[in-house]
Amino acid sequence: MNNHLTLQKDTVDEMLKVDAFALRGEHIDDDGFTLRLMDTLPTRKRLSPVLRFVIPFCFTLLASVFAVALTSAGSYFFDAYMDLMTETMTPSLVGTFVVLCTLYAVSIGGALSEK
Amino acid sequence: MEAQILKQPPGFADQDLITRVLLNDDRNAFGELVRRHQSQLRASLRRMTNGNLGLADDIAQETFILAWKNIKSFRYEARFSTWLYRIAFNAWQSEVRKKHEFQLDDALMPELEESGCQAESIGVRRDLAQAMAGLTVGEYNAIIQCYYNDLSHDEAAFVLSIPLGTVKTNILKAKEKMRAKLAAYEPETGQGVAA
Repeated sequence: MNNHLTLQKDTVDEMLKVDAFALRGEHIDDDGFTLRLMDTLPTRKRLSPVLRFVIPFCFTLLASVFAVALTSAGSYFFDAYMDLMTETMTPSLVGTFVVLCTLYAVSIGGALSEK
Repeated sequence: MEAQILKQPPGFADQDLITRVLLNDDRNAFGELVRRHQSQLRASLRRMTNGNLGLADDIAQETFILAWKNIKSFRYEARFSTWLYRIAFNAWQSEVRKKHEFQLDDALMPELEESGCQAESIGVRRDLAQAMAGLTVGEYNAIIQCYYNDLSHDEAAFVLSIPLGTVKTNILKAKEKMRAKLAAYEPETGQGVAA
C-alpha cells in the first residue's frame, strides 16, 4: 500500500462524513405517512387450519400409494396383511395392536394440536 | 389506526416485531416497524430521487408494501433497515428504468434550503452536491449507501446487489472525481504527509 495515499488527509471523506452525519440527524416527520400506508396494506391470504392439515396429508397418502404400487415394497405390505389376517389372535398380539394404535393416536393428536 | 400503532411499547426490538408479523400477521407490529424506519428510508429516497419528495414517498410506500408481502423471505442475513434499503433501491431502479432517465443534479438542494442551515454549511453542501452530480449512477449510489445511509461496504454490496469489490472501486472512483471538484477545500500544503 502506498504510504503517501494512506497518510494523506482525505478531505472528501471527511466532508461526506460531516454532511451525512448532519443529514442523518434530521428527522422526517411521519405526517400521516404510516397511517396512509397501513390503510393501503393488502390483507394476506392464509390457508385455513383444515387445509394446512389436509394438503400435506393427501400428498403423503399419494406418495405412499405410489411407493406401494410402483416398488417391491408393495408385495411386502400385501404379505404382511395376509399374515395378519390368517394369524390366530393371541393376547400378546392384541396387546401389540393396542400399543401401536395408542402410539398412532398420540402422534395424530399431537400433530393436530400443533395447529 | 395510528392511535393503535402508537400504543406499541417502545421497548420491542425489530426482531420481536418481525416475529409477531410472521406468526400472527400483526399489522400493528408492522406499523411500528414502519414508524421506526420511515424517516431514514424516506430521507435516503429523497437523495436518490434528486429531492423529488412525491416520488420518494411513493417509492417508500411501495417499499413497505413489498416488505409486508415478502417478510417471510427476510432471513436476518442483514439488519431490517438494510433489507428495506435493498427493496427501496430495487424499486427506485425499476422506476428509473420505466422513465428511462436519471439525471444527477444538485440533489440535496430543496431540503438544504429548508433545513435552516447556516450559510457556510449550505455552501459546503451545495459544493458537495455539485461534485456528486458528476458521478456515474453506480458511484453515486455507492456514496449514498456507504456515507448517507451509514452502511458498511458489505451491506452496501447487499443493498446494491453488486460484488463487494465493485462497491469499493466505485467509492474510490467517486472520491477521486469529487476530490478534483472540491480542490478548494484541500489543505494548502497539499503535498501529503509522506511526500
